[in-house]
Amino acid sequence: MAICELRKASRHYGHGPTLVKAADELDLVIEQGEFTVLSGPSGSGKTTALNLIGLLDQPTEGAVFVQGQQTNLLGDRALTHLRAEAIGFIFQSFNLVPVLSAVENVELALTLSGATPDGGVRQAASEALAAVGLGELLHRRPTELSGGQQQRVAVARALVKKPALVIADEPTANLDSKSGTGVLDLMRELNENLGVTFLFSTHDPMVMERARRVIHIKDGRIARDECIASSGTA
Amino acid sequence: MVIFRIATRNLFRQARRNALSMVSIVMGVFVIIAGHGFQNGLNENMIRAQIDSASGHVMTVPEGYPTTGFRQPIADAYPLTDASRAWLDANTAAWTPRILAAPRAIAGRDAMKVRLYGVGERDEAVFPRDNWSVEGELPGEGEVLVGSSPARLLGVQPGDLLTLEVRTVDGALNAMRYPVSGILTTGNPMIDNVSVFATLSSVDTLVAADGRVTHVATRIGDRRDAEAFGAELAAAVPSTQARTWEDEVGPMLEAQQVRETMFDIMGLALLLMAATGIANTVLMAAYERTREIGTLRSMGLQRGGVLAMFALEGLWMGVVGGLVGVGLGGGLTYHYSVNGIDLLAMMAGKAEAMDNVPIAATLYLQFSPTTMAVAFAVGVFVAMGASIYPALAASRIAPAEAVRAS
Ligand SMILES: Nc1ncnc2c1ncn2[C@@H]1O[C@H](COP(=O)(O)OP(=O)(O)OP(=O)(O)O)[C@@H](O)[C@H]1O
Ligand SMILES: [Mg+2]
Repeated sequence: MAICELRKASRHYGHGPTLVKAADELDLVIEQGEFTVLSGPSGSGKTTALNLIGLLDQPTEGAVFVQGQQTNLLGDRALTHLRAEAIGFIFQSFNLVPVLSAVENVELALTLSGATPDGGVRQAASEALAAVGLGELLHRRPTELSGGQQQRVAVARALVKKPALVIADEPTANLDSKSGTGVLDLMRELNENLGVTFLFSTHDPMVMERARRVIHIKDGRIARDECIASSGTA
Repeated sequence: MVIFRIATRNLFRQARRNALSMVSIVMGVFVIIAGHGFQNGLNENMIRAQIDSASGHVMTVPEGYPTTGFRQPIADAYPLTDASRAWLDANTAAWTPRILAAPRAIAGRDAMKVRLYGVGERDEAVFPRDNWSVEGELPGEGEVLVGSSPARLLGVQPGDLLTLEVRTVDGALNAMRYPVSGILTTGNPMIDNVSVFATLSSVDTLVAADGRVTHVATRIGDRRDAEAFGAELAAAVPSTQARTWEDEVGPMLEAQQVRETMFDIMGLALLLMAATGIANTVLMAAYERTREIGTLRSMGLQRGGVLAMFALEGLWMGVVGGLVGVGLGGGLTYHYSVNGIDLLAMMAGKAEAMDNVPIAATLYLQFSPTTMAVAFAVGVFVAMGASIYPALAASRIAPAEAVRAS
């Protein structure tokens, strides 16, 4: 079963002469275990597509399915619930809650998703941080962490609730190439070892190198959808 | 709960801005507490002064006695029968007969109208003299004790002579000359400004009262029983009516009520200012944290959660501001409820206008935990109410704001 699917999903902004078709009748299926990149020039509609899939936004026309469930008719509460349960987000600017420590940020994701891991929320959060190499920095506030470290916390936060899909919009754009590579390799590892499904958007060739499927977007439409046999860096 | 934790910590992100927004809450709560403490203290002060220096708990006055103006009850003086005396002994905690007259006091070429009190031997049991300060001696038979203002205006000292010219009970004119035994200062302008004291029998002779009196002042166990007791008292002393301390001081307290209302209005106005300040602050916080709210929403926080988070932030400001206001207001009223404020010094030079206002020299503010609790609750309620609108605005921020570039 597809984890999520867009069917002729459109997202229009404005109207009349200012109408922008940020997503224009997109058809797209993401399967379990993919490591896929949306690529395209700035303004092509990558973020728009990710927002539709991630239930952060709703299509003006067409349908979005998540875990086989059509979402068009869901109310805000149900959408929020489904999003919390099924989808983890990694953001370009990390978006950690500044007043919470690393481990509290990760706990927050667990609490909001309603997950009740064996051994408790604190232990699961600590383990998730240890898995991204931050086992020693549990109690640092975001301001006390480097960008790369913050993004690792964000990875732990997205993954701790074991979502069906992790969406990452330009996750390396605010990182230097060394931290970016580190974070990417981490995600690739999680994908290969645990089967976590990732969907990115990026301009970054480094990300595309590691992708197994690259979807090219232009003017809100899919221009090309290619599968890459080799699995990038080993 | 995690929302609670975030809201509480968020309070410190803009600590200075939030502290400024709380200032009006502090002031509003403070004004309400201090205002009530002052007004209730003043009311109690007037009641005490009235009871302790003018009327006791209940006094009998001649029937048809005027309730306002400068009172000249001499013509209606009434006899105190043995039956009345026995009843008073049996039914009061203390009682004292008095003759009040309004003579002209003359010393040399100066003269002024004064209030002459002829007081019984046990007068002090009804009218305590704790705050009496006498320069010289209390008056013996045929002597007078002169209030500080008349003494100054007439230029008399202990040992000088003072002439009192008065109409007798029968309406004849009489005048007698008395040695001044002492000068009296109490801090109560009603006494200090116009009074002259003498023994009951001295005044009886001056006004030819022949055993009759104009007032009988009483003290009873509980001042709240004054009205019921007054009815019995009037029946027990023929040709009199009873006036309770409430009758005397009631109209004045009602006039004071206006001031208490003013304090409340001031306090509420300050709290209203606080409301706009807090609404503004919380709204600013909501917009500053748009991306953060989007992130929380993307992670699964419901709209209600966002609303609660920001309303809690407002609530916290109310709680903190309210506590500080309660601390300041409570501290002030407590301090002055124990130590008192020296009204004498404050009224210096203005006391002439207060001949008919009973005031004791020391004002004790009322320390009231009830008022403090109410003021605190109002402060918290206002702050919380003020943050509802911005919290609603925050809750409508879309989850997609999480990815919008800032
Ligand atoms: N909230 C909005 N209101 C109006 N237009 C919008 C809005 N969001 C996006 N757009 C428009 O939709 C189009 C697609 O935007 P989108 O952000 O999806 O592009 P993108 O591929 O993510 O670009 P980038 O690489 O710069 O992040 C753009 O033309 C953009 O101006
Ligand atoms: Mg984008």
